[in-house]
Amino acid sequence: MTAALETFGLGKSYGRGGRAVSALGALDLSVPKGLVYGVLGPNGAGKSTLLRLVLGLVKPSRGGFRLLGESSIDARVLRRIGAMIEAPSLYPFLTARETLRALAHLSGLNDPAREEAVLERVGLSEAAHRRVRTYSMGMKQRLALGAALLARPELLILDEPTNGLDPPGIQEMRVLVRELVEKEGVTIILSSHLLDEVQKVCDRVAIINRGELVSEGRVSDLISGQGGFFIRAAPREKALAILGARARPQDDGLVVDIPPDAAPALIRELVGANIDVFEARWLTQSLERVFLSSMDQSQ
Amino acid sequence: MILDALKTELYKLSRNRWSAFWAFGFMPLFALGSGLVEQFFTHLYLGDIIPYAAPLQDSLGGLATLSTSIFQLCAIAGAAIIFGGEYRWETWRATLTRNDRIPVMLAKLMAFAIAVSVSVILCSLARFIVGLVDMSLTGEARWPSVGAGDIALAHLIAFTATLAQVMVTASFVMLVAVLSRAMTAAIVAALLTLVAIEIASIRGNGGGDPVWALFPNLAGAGIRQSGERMMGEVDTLLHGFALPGAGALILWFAAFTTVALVLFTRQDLSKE
Repeated sequence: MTAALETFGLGKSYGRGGRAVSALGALDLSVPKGLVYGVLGPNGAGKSTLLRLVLGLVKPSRGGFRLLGESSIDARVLRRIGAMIEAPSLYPFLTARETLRALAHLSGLNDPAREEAVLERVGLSEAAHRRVRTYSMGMKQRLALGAALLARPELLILDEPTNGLDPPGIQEMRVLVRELVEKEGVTIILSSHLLDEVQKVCDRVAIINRGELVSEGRVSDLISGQGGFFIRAAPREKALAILGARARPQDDGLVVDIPPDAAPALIRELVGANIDVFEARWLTQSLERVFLSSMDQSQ
Repeated sequence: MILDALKTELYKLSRNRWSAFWAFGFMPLFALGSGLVEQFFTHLYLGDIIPYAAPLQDSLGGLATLSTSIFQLCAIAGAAIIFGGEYRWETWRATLTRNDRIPVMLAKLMAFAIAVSVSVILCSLARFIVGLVDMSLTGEARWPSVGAGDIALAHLIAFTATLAQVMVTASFVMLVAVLSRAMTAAIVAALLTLVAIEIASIRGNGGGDPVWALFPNLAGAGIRQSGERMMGEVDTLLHGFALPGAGALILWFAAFTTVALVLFTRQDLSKE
């Protein structure tokens, strides 16, 4: 199956000669279709640059990419994509309804019913007659998302989509993103610095730092197995003596660094030594810890 | 693609009513209002200096309303909104993720041409109305002795000359907007350049050396005067500039537009 996005040594530098600043190194990435792909990184890591590059807003300094199987990005390809890049960019003198109409014209669409459906979906039907300049940040964010959804895209590129949204709005966004992927088969590339949100909504992530890819994989793989095996047992000192260097105390129990298939044998070993095991479970690694660990390794 | 972009531009312009009014609607109203005030003041206070009206000469003159730098200010503001607005509102990332750069920019140029054409025609209509008012106050009118075809052709030539002249200005505004990424810079640079050109070209107003036809204001005037001659005007010192002037206007327009488009297609929109 063709990847939604493939990059080959894609990079961007601003300025020339000794004063050139690299915003993105030489990125090799493959985003499969049909899932939510998160792009993570601290401020200035190159996330937005990557998204702007693949949308043709900035020109690459090196390397190349294929978007939806196409290496030449023109309106034909762009009309299969919905994008919301950084802060919502909207015409202040238009109402929400007029904004969607103007952008629909630009995409070659003429479907007023679709525009109304999108307004309904992003919760702006009531405020659709108001000029955008009167909107709050969250409302602008919703409208920008609606604009991205307008053309029923195969691929949705969302840069910090939850910026400015209140907690219910973030929850709605999460549900919407999952619905789009699971019910409509849309591929979503999403950049965010809200790691908890990414963990909840993304299937796969790439972690970028200083323009370089430092980690990539399925979220479930990245966060599983790395947190250790937690055991609450008594007497704890006796258990600690048996497990030796493999274990370290944590809270009222012990955390043991073992591979997943070694857990049954470990429990048998403790029980065989007359130790009472009250609790045994795998600690899941949070994406935040994976992220911070990746950042440390890339420094 | 270009028609989609043109539809968008015209739609945005129709919804940005206040800006559109000042850019394209104000000058016709000003031409009408100032003309009426002038007529009533002349007839009621000064007396009839010229004892007859000439409504068709007035409408022909009205087509030149937007040809001088100060009156082009409105059109320059309109062009700056169209070409510089996306930089100001940072909306390139909403538009250029739906359509290609060249069709989008050319559509802006076309939208401006349509809007300014309406403005030029309304200016002419306004002056024609003023001429009719003049006729009713004076009680006498003179009509050109040439046929309707020549009158229409003269108007068409004058309209085309003014449109071409304003389009050169618009292409310059587009270039400055792309270079500076700022609406205000486009307005200021274009207006000051036009004023400077007008001052620098004063000596060319008598005609003669065709090199003066390189100045867009003299080129436009030369083309218009060739039309005026068809309606019996005799004071047409610049009509010899018509042909080289037309060439110069096309050249300027093509040069500014090409440079702007080349720069725009290569431009990194890292903020907008």
